[in-house]
Amino acid sequence: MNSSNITKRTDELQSKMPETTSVYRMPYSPPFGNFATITLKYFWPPLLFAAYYYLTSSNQIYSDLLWSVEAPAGRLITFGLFGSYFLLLLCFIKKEFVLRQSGITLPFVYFWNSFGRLNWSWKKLDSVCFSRSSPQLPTADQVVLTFLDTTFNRTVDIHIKLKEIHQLELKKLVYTIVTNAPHAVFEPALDSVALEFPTVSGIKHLNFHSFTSMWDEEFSTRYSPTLFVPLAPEHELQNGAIRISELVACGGSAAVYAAKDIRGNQIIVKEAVIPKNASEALKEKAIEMFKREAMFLSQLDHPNIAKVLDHFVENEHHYEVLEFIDGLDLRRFVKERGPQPEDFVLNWAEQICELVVYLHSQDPPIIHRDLTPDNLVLRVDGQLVLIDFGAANAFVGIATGTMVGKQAYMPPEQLRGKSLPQSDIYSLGGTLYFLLMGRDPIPLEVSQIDDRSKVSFEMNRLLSLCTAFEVSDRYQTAVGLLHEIRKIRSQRRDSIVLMPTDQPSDPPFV
Amino acid sequence: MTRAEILAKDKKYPVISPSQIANPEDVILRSLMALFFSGLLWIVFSAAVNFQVVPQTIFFGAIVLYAFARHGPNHSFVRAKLQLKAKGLDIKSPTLKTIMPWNWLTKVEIRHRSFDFIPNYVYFEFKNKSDVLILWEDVRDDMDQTTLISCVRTWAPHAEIRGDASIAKAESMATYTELWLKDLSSAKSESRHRKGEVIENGAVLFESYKVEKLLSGGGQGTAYLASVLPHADFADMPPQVVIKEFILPQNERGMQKARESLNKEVTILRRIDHPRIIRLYDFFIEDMRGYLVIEYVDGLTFRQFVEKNGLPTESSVAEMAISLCKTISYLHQLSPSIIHGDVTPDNIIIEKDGGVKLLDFDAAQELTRNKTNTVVGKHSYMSPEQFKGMLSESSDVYALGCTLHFLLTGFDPEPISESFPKKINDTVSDAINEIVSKATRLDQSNRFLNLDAMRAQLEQL
Repeated sequence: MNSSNITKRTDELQSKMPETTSVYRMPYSPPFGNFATITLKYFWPPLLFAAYYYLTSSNQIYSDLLWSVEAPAGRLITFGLFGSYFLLLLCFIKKEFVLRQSGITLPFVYFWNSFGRLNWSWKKLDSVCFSRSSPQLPTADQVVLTFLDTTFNRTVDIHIKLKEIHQLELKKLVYTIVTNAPHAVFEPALDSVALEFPTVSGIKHLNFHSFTSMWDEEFSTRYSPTLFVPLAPEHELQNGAIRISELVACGGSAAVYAAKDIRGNQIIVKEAVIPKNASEALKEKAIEMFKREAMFLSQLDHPNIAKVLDHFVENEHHYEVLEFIDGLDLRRFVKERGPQPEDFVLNWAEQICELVVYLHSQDPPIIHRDLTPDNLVLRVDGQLVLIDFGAANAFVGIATGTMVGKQAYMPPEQLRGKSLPQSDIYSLGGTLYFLLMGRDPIPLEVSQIDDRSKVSFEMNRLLSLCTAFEVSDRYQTAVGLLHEIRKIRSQRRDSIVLMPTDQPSDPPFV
Repeated sequence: MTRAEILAKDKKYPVISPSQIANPEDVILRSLMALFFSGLLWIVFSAAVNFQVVPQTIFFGAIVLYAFARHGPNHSFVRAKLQLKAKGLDIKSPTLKTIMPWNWLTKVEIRHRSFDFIPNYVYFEFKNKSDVLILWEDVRDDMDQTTLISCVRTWAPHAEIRGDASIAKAESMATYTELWLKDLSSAKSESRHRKGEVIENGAVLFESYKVEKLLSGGGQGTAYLASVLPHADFADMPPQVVIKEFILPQNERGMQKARESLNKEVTILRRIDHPRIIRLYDFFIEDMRGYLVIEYVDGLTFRQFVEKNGLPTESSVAEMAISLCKTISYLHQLSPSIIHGDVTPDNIIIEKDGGVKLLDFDAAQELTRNKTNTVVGKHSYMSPEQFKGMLSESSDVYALGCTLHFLLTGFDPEPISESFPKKINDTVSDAINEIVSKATRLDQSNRFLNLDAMRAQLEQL
């Protein structure tokens, strides 16, 4: 098969792909110590001025030397003195790496190392080396980016000390290199790199192995092939009332976009497409369902449920406009930060459960059916918000005759097509399991954590009662579950006061 | 009153109120005051030492150093340490060195801005009127706002959190992942050459295939009937093929992934050479779209067949089942064996002459699947172990049993349960009812051992 041909063609396509304008500015502390920074920034100019004033005012010879037209050397000194300060200021102003899809811009402090050239294309990047600055050190303490300067036929080494850069930023830098400069050689191989970050509270370890797989997963889950052409950025909907700014996720017959409304507010737009070749009756039914659901949801008013602002049909595609929630969904939150401590999980459990109580108390009761870590967003103010109402999902499911869902969070009766209020309790249990363990529960099984060192007895009991196989064995109402969660929380709160010298459970930090 | 304020009133969690916390005038005024008083102090001391130069200079240096250590504009020499524990806040700062219990905490102020002339800090206020200010610079290796806010929400739900206006806006915690994804995913619209949804008839794809018409039916994406032009790479290609199209996400990584999975899939599929399995001839990527070139079969899927012609007779069902058993067990006997994993009425085609053909290209399935952990499948045809992600040969037995149930009754079986076609359709004989129920047992060990065993049973009919 002509795979070489394919490679060639896709390479061509990629090279035609235009630049994006979005950049990431990576903060960076300049490579001199705090004391030197302060001294240079605040004492250097007054000292300069004082010295200059002293020289020029008191002594005629110096004054002549520095000012007279006949003494170019003097002028050089003057400009050198003050110019050096401006260069120094530039180091403070441009103290960031700018990462683009095409290349990197180095902070000004590397002006000398890089022979005056600060903009480098990723194509010129030759290798990335994690090395030790002195052989006595046990682990690598610097990253060396080697660029090949083809015009002068020389290499440029950029040394970045690990202590000058935050580890999250380093991850991002490495990620950008992996994605944009796949030809760059990592030395040692990225999977085997283990770094130690000295911090105030001790040493933090950083392994790249788990991150590369996480990134891959993130990509494949966010961007999968679709059955329609997703809208391009800058596309306008509703006669310009909505302007698409970027594709957030896509796959199958649905896509999610970040967009701006006419007033410039950030919104989320969901797109769902009925396959062209679906039968007429099916199409009509799907449209009917979609409209009804959107209408219904736009009437819900709860602070922790993302509001449905609008829904419309354009160009035979269905759109749903949702409130934008600034935050991180729980799946990514846990992927980035690892399993969460029980106290956190209980706090969130209470919030989710309150939401479920609210939904079930509607007339008729709303069964969410898709309560998963992906659909719960931890907003910047620390509260959980339910973002996805499965409206699009259910709609797509009807349209294609299939069901879309994450089977790990689905109780057996829901897979059989009969959702009950208790199905949401099962999903809630699965979500709690994910938060505590950092991995999806096993489908169609009771989620339990028998390890007492990780999870208390009460929490484990709660989990197994939420995720019981039979509906009758679960908590029967969300209200009952909420009482149980509150009881456990208050017990734990009391026990904290009672134990003055216990081993405190530290929350895991990034 | 804004919506946030209304919510804050009746909620137990105070909403973060964005506000201007430290105004620059205050800071400047404070440093001027400090300067004034230290100057005063210096004059007094200088007078005390009779204006001698050496002690004067030493004292002045000491004052400056102390001022910088204490109120230095960007950094402090004395680093504070803050740890959040279940018991309380473990604070080690120049002013406070204790564990403050969470229920003493009344107020938290977070200042977080990218312009750091005035340093970013977090400020705690406690019930006993003590307070502490810690610079982000000191704690940023240990925590970020999210962790802090989560901790406060969990252990001190009644504490007021005041945040900078910018907290609720741009530089939020979503940045880590969000920004580079944005960077890598967004692309301008020009890069897709073809704007229209459907290819016009007569267009030539990959310089080898000429599109003849759009095929309908299936509902699983766009498919075209195409004729093969003479310079296609394959020598033994039939004159007409089906081209399935799917649209690839518009970024480098996505393209790379798609190509990898296509390559992998094709190496597997090349080993399959069976007259009863539809062949995959080629795949290519053009204009950010992936295409699969597959054999063209003129026929109906089981589902379409039942909709159009009604239920087939029991003997013909048995005949088709035997043929399917043979086909699928061919896949199982390859080494390494291939498990179909998606035997459904939509994936089996009845040809005009009555033969049964199995569609087998998981590539398309894989690529149009929403997420790795999402089943865009027909729940009715999935065995319990397949839900758990442990696919085995007996999953195909289960799926085949379910397919027979569909053929016998015209209805999808109930998911995750043993199927008895006789319950729905009285005319079904006991023998075949028995076979279907045995194939769809929930426990793998109670099912047919393999497809040959099932075939043997079917042949007895």
